[in-house]
Amino acid sequence: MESSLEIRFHGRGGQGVVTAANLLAEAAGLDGLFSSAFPIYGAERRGAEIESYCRISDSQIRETSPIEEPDVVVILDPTLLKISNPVRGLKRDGKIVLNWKGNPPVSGKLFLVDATGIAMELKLVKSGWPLVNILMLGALVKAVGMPSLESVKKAIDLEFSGNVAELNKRAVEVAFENTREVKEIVA
Amino acid sequence: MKIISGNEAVALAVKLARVGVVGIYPITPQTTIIEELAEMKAKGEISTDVVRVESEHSAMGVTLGAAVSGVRAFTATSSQGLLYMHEMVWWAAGSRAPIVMVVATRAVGAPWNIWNENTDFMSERDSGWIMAFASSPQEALDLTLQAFRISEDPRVFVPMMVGMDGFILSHTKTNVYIPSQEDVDTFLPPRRQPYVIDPETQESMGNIFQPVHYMKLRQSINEAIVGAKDVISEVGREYEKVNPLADYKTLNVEYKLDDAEYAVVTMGAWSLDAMEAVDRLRERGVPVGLYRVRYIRPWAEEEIERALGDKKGVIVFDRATSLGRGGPLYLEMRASLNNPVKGVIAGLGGVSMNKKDFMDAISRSLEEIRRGDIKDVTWYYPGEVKEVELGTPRSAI
Repeated sequence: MESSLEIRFHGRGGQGVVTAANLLAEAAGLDGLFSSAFPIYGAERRGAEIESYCRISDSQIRETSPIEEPDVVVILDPTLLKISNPVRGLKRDGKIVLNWKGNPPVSGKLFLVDATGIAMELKLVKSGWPLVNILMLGALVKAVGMPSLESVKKAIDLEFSGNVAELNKRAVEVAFENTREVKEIVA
Repeated sequence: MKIISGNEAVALAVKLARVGVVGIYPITPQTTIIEELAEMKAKGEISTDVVRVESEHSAMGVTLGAAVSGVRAFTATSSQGLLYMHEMVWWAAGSRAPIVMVVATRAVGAPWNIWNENTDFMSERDSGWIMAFASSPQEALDLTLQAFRISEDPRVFVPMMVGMDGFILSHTKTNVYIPSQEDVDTFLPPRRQPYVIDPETQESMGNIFQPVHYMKLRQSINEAIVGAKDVISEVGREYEKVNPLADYKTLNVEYKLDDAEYAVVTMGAWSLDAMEAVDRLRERGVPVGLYRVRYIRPWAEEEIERALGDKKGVIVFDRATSLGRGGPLYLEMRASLNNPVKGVIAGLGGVSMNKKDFMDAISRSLEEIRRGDIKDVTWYYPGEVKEVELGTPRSAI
């Protein structure tokens, strides 16, 4: 691969972890890039820990195996930091995009966004769950500078319609605006 | 280009082929193919009759019935579903009925396992079908479209199944070129078949055959499958008008083999991970190339001899088993080659193999070949699980 990006998503069953990776791949495709997205399928159930993967490249992607050394991890549910190691294998300069409000909980190249707060405020809630999966893509775009926000929004329109699409498109923009980079290393 | 999954790509191929009847019964990881087709039907995008049945045995029954009555017919299944369908798979071949089936591969129970392995697909290799295996969602779409034309060619008239790795291809969304309806219509002539069962005429099928006639029919299927090699290459060249990025001139695919002293043989999605491993090994000066088997039936004996016959050693990776004898690809390769062949079984039941695992497994196999001391088929476990203690139900007592 000439230039490529490997992104791993972490969240819980029901949060839309798989959809997030799929939409990212679609957005990258709309930008004229090669991409692939897939999850680890298991006995999925609500609340269980879920991982999904997205590779983006300017040339044909050949690898089909799960991403073990990501350039970026996107963590939808910060409670996972306590029960497992979602940043495992992260490259030395790798970035962490985290749904978080307040002082950073881990060290590293952090991009924090209060995704839960944004979802609640926009009433992007389903069955009592704030829907943070798609809006985290806004934070990811801020962190890595691609794909374009326009393509993310187009990808949303390809998969959803009506109020869900409109709310998510707005949420992506709000998340993009409100993502802050933590430059200092915090223990 | 669109970003879609292997299952979505197959459903699109079925739509583009203007299939008349699909017999459907759900099983993971194939289910989203038929879900997609059912959704297309509900939206009025296809005029296909989507016939829901109570089992895979009946799914092939419906598909075969439609096929012999003169309609382009399709079905898809996986694992236990394919095994349950097994009897009808053979009826379809014996009937010389052009049919296309996609198998999204999955391990076979017991114990239950939903993840990828190719043993279900490979266990049909004596059934009398043409059998191709995809390495990407693109190839799943391309081969499904080509399958209708190959199967319906009067020189063949044998059903064809297309395999693809469950989840790894069926559920991975990636860039796929979608041919235009116009190009597919030009590529795919109206359906042809050896006979049509029609209530108005006196023909029937499935009656008892006397011994010599039965044997002659079996021989005719054998000859049709062997003879299909030329048809497959011809259709492959023709298909370049449908997908200009495609290369289907040969049955199987070579990668960096010309100047290679050793060769790795693979089939399916992990071939691409293995290609990454080959590139890295080459950077370290290891003269290795790769040969990807795309067609199991017909078996491309001449192509294989030409590509691999002069290599110092051939390492065959099987994601399937013929228990007690290693893997089916390994056995086929040994039957075709006189040079040293090393067999490796890996990736069963969803065990993942990445490029580093391939580099390791290839390097270990090369050591055996170079020492001239090829051990029995290796069961390769990646990562930290190198050695596995095997317990039997008896040893637990």
